[in-house]
Amino acid sequence: MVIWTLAFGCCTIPIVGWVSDRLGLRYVREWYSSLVIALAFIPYILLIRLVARVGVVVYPIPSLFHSILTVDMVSVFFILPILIVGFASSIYSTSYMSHDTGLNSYYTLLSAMILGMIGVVSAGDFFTFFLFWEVMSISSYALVAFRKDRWEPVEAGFKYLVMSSAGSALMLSGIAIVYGIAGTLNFAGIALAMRTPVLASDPWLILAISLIIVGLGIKAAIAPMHTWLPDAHPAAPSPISSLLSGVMIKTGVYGLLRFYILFQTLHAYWSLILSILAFLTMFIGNLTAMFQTDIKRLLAYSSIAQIGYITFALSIGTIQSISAALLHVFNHAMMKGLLFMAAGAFYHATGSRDISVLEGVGRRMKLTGVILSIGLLAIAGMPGLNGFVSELLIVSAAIQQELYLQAALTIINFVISVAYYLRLLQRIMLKEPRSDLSRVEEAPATMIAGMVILASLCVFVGVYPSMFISISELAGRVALDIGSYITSILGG
Amino acid sequence: MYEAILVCSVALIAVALYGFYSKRHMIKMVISVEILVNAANLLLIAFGAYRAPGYVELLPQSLAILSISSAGGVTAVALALILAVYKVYGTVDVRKLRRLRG
Amino acid sequence: MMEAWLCWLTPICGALLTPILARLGHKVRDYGAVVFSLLAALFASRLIPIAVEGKIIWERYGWMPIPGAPVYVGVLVDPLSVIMANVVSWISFLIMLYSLEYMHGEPGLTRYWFLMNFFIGNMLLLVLSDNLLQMFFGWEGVGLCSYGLIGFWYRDDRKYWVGTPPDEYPPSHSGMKAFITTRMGDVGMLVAMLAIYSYSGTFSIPELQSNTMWASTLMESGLLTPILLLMLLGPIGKSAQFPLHEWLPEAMAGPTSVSALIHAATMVKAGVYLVARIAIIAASLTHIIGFESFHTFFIVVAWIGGFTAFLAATQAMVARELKKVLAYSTISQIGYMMLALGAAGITANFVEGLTAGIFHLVSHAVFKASLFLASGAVLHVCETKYMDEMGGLRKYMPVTFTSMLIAALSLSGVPPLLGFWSKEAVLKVCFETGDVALFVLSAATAAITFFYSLRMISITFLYPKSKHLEELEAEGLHIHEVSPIMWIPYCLLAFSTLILGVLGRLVEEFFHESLSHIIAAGHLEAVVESHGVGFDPSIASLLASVSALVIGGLPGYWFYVARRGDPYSIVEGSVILKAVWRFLWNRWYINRLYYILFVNIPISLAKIMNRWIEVGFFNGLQYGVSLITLRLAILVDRFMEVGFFNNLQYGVAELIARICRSSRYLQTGSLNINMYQVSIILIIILLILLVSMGVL
Repeated sequence: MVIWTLAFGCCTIPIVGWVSDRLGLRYVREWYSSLVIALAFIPYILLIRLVARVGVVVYPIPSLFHSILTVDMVSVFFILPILIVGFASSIYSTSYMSHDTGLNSYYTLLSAMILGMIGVVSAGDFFTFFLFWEVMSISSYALVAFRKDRWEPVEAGFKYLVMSSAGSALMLSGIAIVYGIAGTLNFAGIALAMRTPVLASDPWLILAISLIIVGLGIKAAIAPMHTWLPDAHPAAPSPISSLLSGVMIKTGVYGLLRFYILFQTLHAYWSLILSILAFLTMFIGNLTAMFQTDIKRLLAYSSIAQIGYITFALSIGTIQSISAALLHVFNHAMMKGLLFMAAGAFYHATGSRDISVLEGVGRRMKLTGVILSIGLLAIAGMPGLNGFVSELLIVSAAIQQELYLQAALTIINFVISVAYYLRLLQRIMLKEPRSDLSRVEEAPATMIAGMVILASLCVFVGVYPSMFISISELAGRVALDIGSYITSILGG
Repeated sequence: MYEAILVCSVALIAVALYGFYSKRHMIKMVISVEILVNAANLLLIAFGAYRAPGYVELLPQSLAILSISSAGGVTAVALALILAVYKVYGTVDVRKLRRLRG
Repeated sequence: MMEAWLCWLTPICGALLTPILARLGHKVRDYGAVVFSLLAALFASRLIPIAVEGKIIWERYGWMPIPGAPVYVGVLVDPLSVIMANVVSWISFLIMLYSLEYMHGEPGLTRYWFLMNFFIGNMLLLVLSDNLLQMFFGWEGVGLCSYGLIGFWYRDDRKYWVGTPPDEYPPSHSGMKAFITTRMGDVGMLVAMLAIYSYSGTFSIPELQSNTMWASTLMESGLLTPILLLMLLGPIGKSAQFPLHEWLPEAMAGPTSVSALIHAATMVKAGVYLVARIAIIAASLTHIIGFESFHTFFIVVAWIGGFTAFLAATQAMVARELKKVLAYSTISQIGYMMLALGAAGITANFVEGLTAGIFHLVSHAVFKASLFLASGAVLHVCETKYMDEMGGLRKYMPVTFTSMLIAALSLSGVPPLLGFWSKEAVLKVCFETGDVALFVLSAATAAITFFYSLRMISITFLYPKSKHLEELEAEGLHIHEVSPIMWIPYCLLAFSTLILGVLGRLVEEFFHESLSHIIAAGHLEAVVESHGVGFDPSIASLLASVSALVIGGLPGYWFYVARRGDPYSIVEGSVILKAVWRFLWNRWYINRLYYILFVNIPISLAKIMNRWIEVGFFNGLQYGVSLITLRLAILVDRFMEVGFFNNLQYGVAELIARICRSSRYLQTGSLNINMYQVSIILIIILLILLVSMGVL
């Protein structure tokens, strides 16, 4: 039902926009799209209650070749950050994008992208998965290159498009092979088919797994397939950056998690590959972020590093580690969405993303500065904020599996990342502002509102993490309980 | 029969990947994407025929059709972007698009 | 127990609200901060009935339910923590009140109020927390606030420097010294906490008391004493005990209100509190593993305490700065508390030892806060930190003189003031250990204490007016009594040391009664008989304190009050006395030794190491890249110029920076190369899978 609300929004936003343009009403379209996303929370809450009662909810999509949506605890856990960051960035866009043209298509694409992401995480078979995957991807290509008369979005958009669509095609090839082996596209059916150990060393299956990891890895920005991300995320408008970095790359993680669950006879190999890639990703992301001069580019590299942490947690493959990964997905969505929005607010006010120009801007824009500090401290892992909780959980999950070397490497990465977060914090907040920043004013109220939503969640999860930890643990338990997943979809 | 198609589609994947890193014309890059998508479609059709010999299997074919249509959308966006790139950079050489680095 | 939570949460909220209140105006900010500390004090006093009834209330909530290692937040309200909480919060409140006037008009007051309230909150968190981890948070929090407040005048104006040239230090240096010195202890404490956790699986204090498995395992492996001694490093650092005591005299660079609150009345007691907690845990474990297993630990505690008391007291005899005298005396008195706690463990008479330690803690907090606040008023008026530039103030500042006199007499242990009773209790438990050397040492300390107290009071108030003051008056400055909002707090404190002193025995009874509830089991009473020196410990201690007063008081009175002899000329005249004087004046050369060992030598080592690393590092790379030759030239240039401290870091930092910079080349920006990477990783993954599955 969440999807129908958003689909309804997608269809009606252009009409509402056109009508309000004709009538000369300002901000109707903006508020309408925020309203639609806000309304999606109502079916979402109903959905949570249903999932809590039933376990796995199955929605057949009428007249679409037996395709189904299956929503379980994992999907519910992924939908939450998508809706929150989507809502916040929609509010934020109201003033951030107010000087742009083509806003009808902007808001339509925005809600289509949110729709696509929610569809991906609640798909029940590969047909639906791929359908929504493409909806999400195509709308994000258009959004990255939204300001198409400038060089940066165009260049980044083209690179993103080629890499990402190649990734989708590779993933589709992998899906085709999986279909050839399992004879069905349904997740539960595939899981059932994959239970026979004979299949495990089938060369076709190996090819399929490689193709799928690479295809999803491109979307999740796992090194060395990450190269589109540092270009595309800074080039996109800031609310889109926060959606891309906050949640869209997590759909790739979701895909990896689903496949991990489905191929339960291959867990060892899967873990091996993922952990190698995870450490590559962490180190490349953190080391490259260290000397970035562009604030959004720095944040983009930090996203790569965070994907590394999440992938590492996935690769451990216990209930604790999966739940830590899920919690980190949620926390990182809040933190990174927040940080990109704050960076966008600075860009909006000063017209620059260069950190050396932005030095001390936090003293002129106090509120935004404080919000940025919350985000940076959270992502640097300060106790009492949300990043600390999930990072601790990841490390403790690694230690419980006696992966001491890996835990140590992860901690080294945390330490490296603290260096550039704190350096950024110091430069933005503590340095004397440059003289040309003297006329900089505080960000408009709607932008602040968008950021405050995310910042308050950062603080809330940090101070009161037990609820989120127990939910994510439930989700992790559900994720690994493949037997009951199969029974609840296929019956008996 | 299936084997021939399967080998053919794996070869197409290889061709597409080769195109990605050797061709510098942007439209050729987009054509490589198309080739990759077609390889995937071919795989789908082949496996569909393999799972149900003599019949038309609905699921993979519909997925192939979906993929073809979405590839159309991607191509459209890509061509629009190439136009925009040409306006801004005055070239369609992908190796000239290297302002974003480091 | 809502009050216990609110008690530490209120000041922290107040601290966080300070920047917002500052927006509303200076008055709102200042009074707001004081109100928050008053609220904390009121909440703390709501807990007193619990201490009286001897109940123990333990509440905790899961904060992070990490599987296998859940983290809790909780409060432990028992007589010990209630006594500590009340002392901390009420004295804090009085000092905050005093600060209203004392800090009036200083720049950076928002920072001041923020740090003060944050300090109070963290200190209350420390004493009320139910587990070691949470306690450690508070522990580090108070350390941070102490660092920030010592260096409050971080611009290092000449008038805020502490010490006598050439050993004079700016406030920021002193703050750093305090921070680093205490951190050394904290590392040991953290290691010990984690070690205990790895054996017991819990940080919670009540669980450590009830679950005895960990202690017996530790004892069997012989690690119990080493771990406890590591743990002791934390209290030694925080409470400025030998050998980590050297930070406290320099900590006087902060505002006097800060010295009163943090470096006399509360924060430095955190170490004593922790040792008391360890003693309580030990007491509840003795019937399992026997008190002998803790014997070494407590002997070390007692000796460190006794020695520090003597060491610092001797230094106080020659100090020239008013605040330094008080600082040395603080170190010395905390030594007494440690001594009492150590004696508690040695005799296994935990209740009596604990009572003496905590009783002395409370009485010291009261009179030392009063002394510091009064000295702050004196410094305020005289515009100098040296005692010999004061003099004759009795006439001008009668209220300050009276309260400082009462507090100083209490410090010296003159009956019937509070200090007399608490010191006598300490001497009594010390006597019961049967360790004559320790007892003589502590009695000698008591004598020295009276001597330097008399010296301080006389030089400051009774000596003829100094040249400095006359110059001030000539400049038109009117020397006068301070305003009531300043003298009320210290007057009140001095008055209460008198009142409580008159009721001395009753107060001691109260402490004994309530603390005995924590150590409930009766079998602990007098496990060890006092090592028959032959007579009653209470008579011995009474005799010792009285004779100490006479021994210390007579020369003090002779030289300073009656001024029959000139101490300076006597010291100048004798070679031995002059050598002793120089030894004491240079703080037994410990401070200088530390500077040589921990500052000068590492710097020179860093220089050598740096040259070696730099050159070795570059020799390796030189052949490869021609560009590096140029780099080397630049680096050598920098190496000559930049100070040596940066240089050690420079080698490592430059290496990391180089890696980081070179990792940026991975982002080529060429789409062809990007896709090439994708193809390569596809093939690599394929190969890894094929090999690991055994297909290839």
